[in-house]
Amino acid sequence: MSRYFYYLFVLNMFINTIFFVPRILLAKRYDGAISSILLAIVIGSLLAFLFTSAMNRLNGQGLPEMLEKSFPFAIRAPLLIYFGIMWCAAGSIILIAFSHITQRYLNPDMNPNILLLCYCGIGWWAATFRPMAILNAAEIIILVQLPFVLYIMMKTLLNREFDWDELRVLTDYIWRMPSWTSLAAATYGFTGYINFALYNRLYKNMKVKHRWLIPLLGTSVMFVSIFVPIGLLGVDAVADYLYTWISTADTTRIRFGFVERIVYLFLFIYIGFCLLFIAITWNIGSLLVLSCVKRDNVKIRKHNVSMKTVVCGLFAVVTLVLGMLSNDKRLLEFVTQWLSVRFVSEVFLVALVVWLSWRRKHA
Amino acid sequence: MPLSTIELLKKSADFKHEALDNDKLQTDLFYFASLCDMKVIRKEIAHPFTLCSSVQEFEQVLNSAMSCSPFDEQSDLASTLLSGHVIVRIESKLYKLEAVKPGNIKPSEAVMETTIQGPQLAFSEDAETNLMIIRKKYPFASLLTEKYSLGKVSQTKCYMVYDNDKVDPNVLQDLKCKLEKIEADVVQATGQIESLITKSKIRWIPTMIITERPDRVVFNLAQGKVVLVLDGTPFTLVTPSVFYDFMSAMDDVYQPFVVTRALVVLRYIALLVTITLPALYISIVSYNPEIVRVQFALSLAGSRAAVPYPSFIEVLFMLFLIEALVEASLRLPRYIGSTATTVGGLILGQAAQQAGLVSSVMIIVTSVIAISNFLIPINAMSFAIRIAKYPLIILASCFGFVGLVAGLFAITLYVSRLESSGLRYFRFYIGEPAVSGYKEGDKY
Repeated sequence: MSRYFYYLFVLNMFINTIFFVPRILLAKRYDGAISSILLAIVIGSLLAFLFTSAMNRLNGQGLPEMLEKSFPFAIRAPLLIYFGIMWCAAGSIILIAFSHITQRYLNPDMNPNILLLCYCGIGWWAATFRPMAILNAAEIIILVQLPFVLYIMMKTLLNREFDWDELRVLTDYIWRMPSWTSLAAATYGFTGYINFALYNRLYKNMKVKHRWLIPLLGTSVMFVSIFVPIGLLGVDAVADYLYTWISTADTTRIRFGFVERIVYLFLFIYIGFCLLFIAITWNIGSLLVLSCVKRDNVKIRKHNVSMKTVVCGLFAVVTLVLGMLSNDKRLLEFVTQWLSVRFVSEVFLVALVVWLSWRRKHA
Repeated sequence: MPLSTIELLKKSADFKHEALDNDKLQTDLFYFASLCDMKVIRKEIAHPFTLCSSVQEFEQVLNSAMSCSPFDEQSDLASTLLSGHVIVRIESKLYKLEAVKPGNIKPSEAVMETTIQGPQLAFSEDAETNLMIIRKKYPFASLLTEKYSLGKVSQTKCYMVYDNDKVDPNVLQDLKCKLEKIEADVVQATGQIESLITKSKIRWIPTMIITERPDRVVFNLAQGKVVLVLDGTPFTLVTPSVFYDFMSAMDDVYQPFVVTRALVVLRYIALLVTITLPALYISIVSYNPEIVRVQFALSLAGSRAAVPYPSFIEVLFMLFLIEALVEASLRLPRYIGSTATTVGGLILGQAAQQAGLVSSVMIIVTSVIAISNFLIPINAMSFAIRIAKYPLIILASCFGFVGLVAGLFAITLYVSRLESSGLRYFRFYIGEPAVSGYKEGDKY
C-alpha cells in the first residue's frame, strides 16, 4: 500500500513546483537559490525519512490518536486546530492562485469571483468525503494524468529553443549562502509525506517501501521545475514572468497534436491536480479540527448537518472572502511569509512525531 | 380448518373444491386450478385413492408421496394454497401436497448481452430452471442456495446462490440482513431488489451487475460472488461487483488476450468520449476556440455560421432529439422501432442542419456520443452513463473548460466513494487478485 504514500508525495511535488516555489526561487537565482535547493533536497529527504520511520512504528494511528495518549486536551486541541488551519491554508493558497490563473488564461471574460466560487464549491463538496474515497480518486486521477505530465516535461526539455548556456551561467552562483526564504520555499516540494500524519490511520501494517525514491523523485522534479523555465525563458528574463511555469509551457507546441499549444494540456491537467490537492488538504484539515470536537452533527434549521460539512464550509467561505480581497502581489507576499511559518511548523511536527514514536518504543 | 378462508377463496373462479368418493372413503381436495398441475394431483392423490379402503391406508399413501406432509394448523392456509399446494382433507386431518405448475421454463436466447462465440442461451423466467442451469455449469458440492420470498404481497421466490468455500462471509451476512428487511409489496425484477437493498434513495451508478447470461453468473460464482436468482425474470443480480465488471463483456474471456485488451481500451475511450464530448464542444465553441488548431477552429465557426444560438442550446436540442430517439426505439414495438430510427436519425438530423438549427459538426458529435454510449456492455451501466454528460454540459456552459475538468473530477470522486457490498467500487486493483480476472487460477 505504500504506493498511496507516493501518490500524495508526487501530487504535492507537482503542485508546489509549479506555483509559488519556482517564482520565489527564481527571484533569488543569483542570491543562493541553487544552494538552497541543494540543501532543501538533503533536509526534505531527511525529514521525510525520519517521519516515515516514525510513522511505520506508530502503526495505523493518525496524529489525533497519537497526541491523545501523551497530551491533555488543553495542549492537544490548540495544536491540532493550528495544524488543521495550516493544512487548510495550503489548499486555499493553491485554490486562490489557480483561480487567478484560469481567469487569466482560460476565461478572461469571466468574473474571477465566480470562478473562485466554482472552485470553493467543488472543494467544499470534495473535502467532506471519506479519506478512502479521496485516496481512491487520487490514485485514478494521478495515474491517468501522469503520462501527460511526463510528456509535457519531455517536450519542454527536448524543445529546440532550450538553451543550456543559460543554465551554465548559474554555475557561478552555486556557492552563495542559502537564504531562509528560498530554503523555506525549496523544502515545500518535499512536504507531501506529511499528509500521512492523518492518512496513516487507514493503513494498518503499512511500511513505506522504496524510500530511496523520495530524494530521487524530489531532486528530478525540483530541477525540472527550476531549470526548464531558465533554459526556455532565459536566465535574466525568467524573473519577469508572473506565472513562470504557464509561460514556460506556452513556449512549446505539439506539431501534430489535436491540442496544438501545450499550455492548454498543462492547464487541464493542473485543474485536476489542484482540485485534488484542495480536496486532500481540506479533508485533512477538517479532520484534524474535528478531532477536538466531540459533536458529530449540528442542527441548522431542523436539519442535521454533519460537523465535517460545517468545518469544510467554513474553510470554503473564508477562502472565498480572502480570494476576493487578494491580488497576485499580496498573495505572493503572503505565501512567502507563510512558507517560512510552514517550514518551522513542519520541522516541529516531524520532531513531535519522532519523539512520540521514540517514547512509544521506550515506554 | 378455517372455513372463512375457504369461503373467501371460493369466490374466485379458479379455486377448486373437489370431493372424492370411492364408496369406502371420502376426501376433499382444495386447490387453485391455475396454480396446480393436474397431472401431479391425479398421480399422487386421485389414483391411489381409488385403491384405498381405509383411512389409515390413505394416510400412508399421503405420507409416502413426494413433497406431501401434514398441514400445520398454525400456518397460513391461504398462502399455502396460493403457493401452489393442494390441501387434502381426510376426516379431520389436513395434508398439503406441493403440485405447482411449472412456469415458462424454456431458456430464451440472450438478447441484452450477446456474445459472438460464447454460449447463446440466457436464463429462463423460472427460478428452478435457472438453478438447474447454474448447477449444470457449476457441479460442485460447495454451491449452496438459500430461499427467500420477497415482497409482502407478491411473495416472489428468490434464491441466493454462492460458493460456500469462496464467498466472503461478511458480504453474505450483510446481504441476508438486507434481503430480510425488504418491505415492499411487490418485487418483480432484480433491478428493483438492488434499489430496495440500497440505503440511499438517490442512486445513480449501479453497483450490482444485472445479467441474463449463465456463463457470467458461473464465472462470478467461481470468484466468490453472491448471485440472486429471482423467479419470473431471466435477469440475475451479482454482488459485489466493481466498475470494471460493468465494462467487461463475456467475449473478453473467449477472445485472445491482445484482442480483448484492445477492445477494453476501446470501451474506456468510448466511455470518456460519450461523457465529455458534448461539454467539450461547448467549451471549444463558446469559451476557448484557440485550443484547437486555427484551421479547425475556423471550419467549426464556418459550420456554425447559420446557427444563431449559443452552443449549449444547440447541444441540448440535438441531445434531446437523440435521447428521445433512443427512448422511442426502446419502447416502441420492434417493427415500428426501426422506422422511428430511420425517420429520426437520417431525416431530422440532415434537415436540422439545413434549417440552420444545428451545425454539421454537432450532428457528428451527437452520433458519436450515442454510438459510444452503446459500447458499454452492461445495460444498466450504459443507462447510468447516459445521464453523466448532463451535469458536465451544465458546468461547461457556466465555466467552460474549468467546469468540464471540475465536473470530471467530481464524477471520479463520486464514483470512488461508492461501495458494493463492502468492496471498494472504483479504484485500481494493483497487485491484488483481479476482480474481473477471468484467467485467474489458470497457470498457462
